[in-house]
Amino acid sequence: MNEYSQPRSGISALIRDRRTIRSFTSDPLDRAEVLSQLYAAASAVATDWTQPDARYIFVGSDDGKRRAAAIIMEAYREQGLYRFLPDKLNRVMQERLARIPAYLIVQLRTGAAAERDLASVYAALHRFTLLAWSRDIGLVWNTEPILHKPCIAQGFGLGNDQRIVCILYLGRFAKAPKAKRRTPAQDKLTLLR
Amino acid sequence: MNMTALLEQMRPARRFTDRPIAEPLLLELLNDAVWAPTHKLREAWRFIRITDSARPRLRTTVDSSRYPALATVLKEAPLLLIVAVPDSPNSHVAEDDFAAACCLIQNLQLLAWEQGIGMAWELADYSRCASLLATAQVREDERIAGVLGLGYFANDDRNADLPPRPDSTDLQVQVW
Ligand SMILES: Cc1cc2nc3c(=O)[nH]c(=O)nc-3n(C[C@H](O)[C@H](O)[C@H](O)COP(=O)(O)O)c2cc1C
Repeated sequence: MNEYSQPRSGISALIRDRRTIRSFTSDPLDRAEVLSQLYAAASAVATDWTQPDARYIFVGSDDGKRRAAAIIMEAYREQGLYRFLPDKLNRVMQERLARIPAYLIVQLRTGAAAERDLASVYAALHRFTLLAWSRDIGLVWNTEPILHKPCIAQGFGLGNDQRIVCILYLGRFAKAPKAKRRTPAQDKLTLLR
Repeated sequence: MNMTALLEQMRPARRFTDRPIAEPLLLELLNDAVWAPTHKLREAWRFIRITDSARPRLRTTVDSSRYPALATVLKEAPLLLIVAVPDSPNSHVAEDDFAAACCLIQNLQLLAWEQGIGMAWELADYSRCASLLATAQVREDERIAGVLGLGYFANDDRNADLPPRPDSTDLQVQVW
């Protein structure tokens, strides 16, 4: 039996086809294009009209990337992860970061409704992910614990009441990776009678 | 519909018709929605569907003066669904799982809209609503990522004029 009763809608196909992209081509991204997608995604509303107090840093210039990569590398060093590794590896990582076409650093002012604000930012970022994907731009979310190191806060200019939500690394890509199967919703559904 | 048009039109639902959402359609929507990004493919979400016989029980657990929007959704929405995620003691894992559930919920809202179904996403810190959590059988090591109310739009609601959208230029973007 066919799993689907109807042909897939455009959105259904978009949602299913989207993949996390971890390696990018060297094609530069058009800043205006990416930012207009971000605007479109962030100004759409999932919960209500209250917008979370989010701030974004779009890092796309060579200079900006050098600056951001240095901050990120410093966080790894603080973590102790790379302290004992040869400089060569540090350089390799730094070069890898430099080759990623753009980063989007996402920050949030955390007020009384922290969980709610976080949810609306996540929802907005996912809308952005889908919109970008529909224009052949891929990305990966990064939420590693090193993002909460003091050097990150300082380097990216976070205020006391602000936190990093994640860094998105984005760019064009040659080929989407294969999809990894999801568990059917039925298996995760409980009926409360 | 393309994504740009959908983003422009979509809004949280407030009023619904009584028309029920067929079970196979709900499953179809959920089986699309689970294609959310999820770190390490944990898929840590879980769905609790509140049947009509459980609804009154659940409603009595919510103080409508404190949670008016939630109380309205529990009363009005033809279909009620709770998305629960583990509240892992590792805060990083807990946040990633919460984020993935939020992506899934966003997928569901987009997919539903295309079918003429609106979704209200009620999210608050429910950790102090012990009787709501207990009645919905949300486990102690879980939290709620959303109480979702779904239903077909009342004709006049889909395009109802809500307050103006936030001005996109309000977005705070720095360029490096
Ligand atoms: C909150 C969140 C954080 C993530 N963090 C990372 C990360 O740090 N590194 C990474 O490679 N992928 C990360 N991912 C992507 C997931 O690993 C990816 O969604 C999963 O492997 C499923 O693949 P797909 O997105 O292509 O369907 C993250 C996803 C989410 C939702």
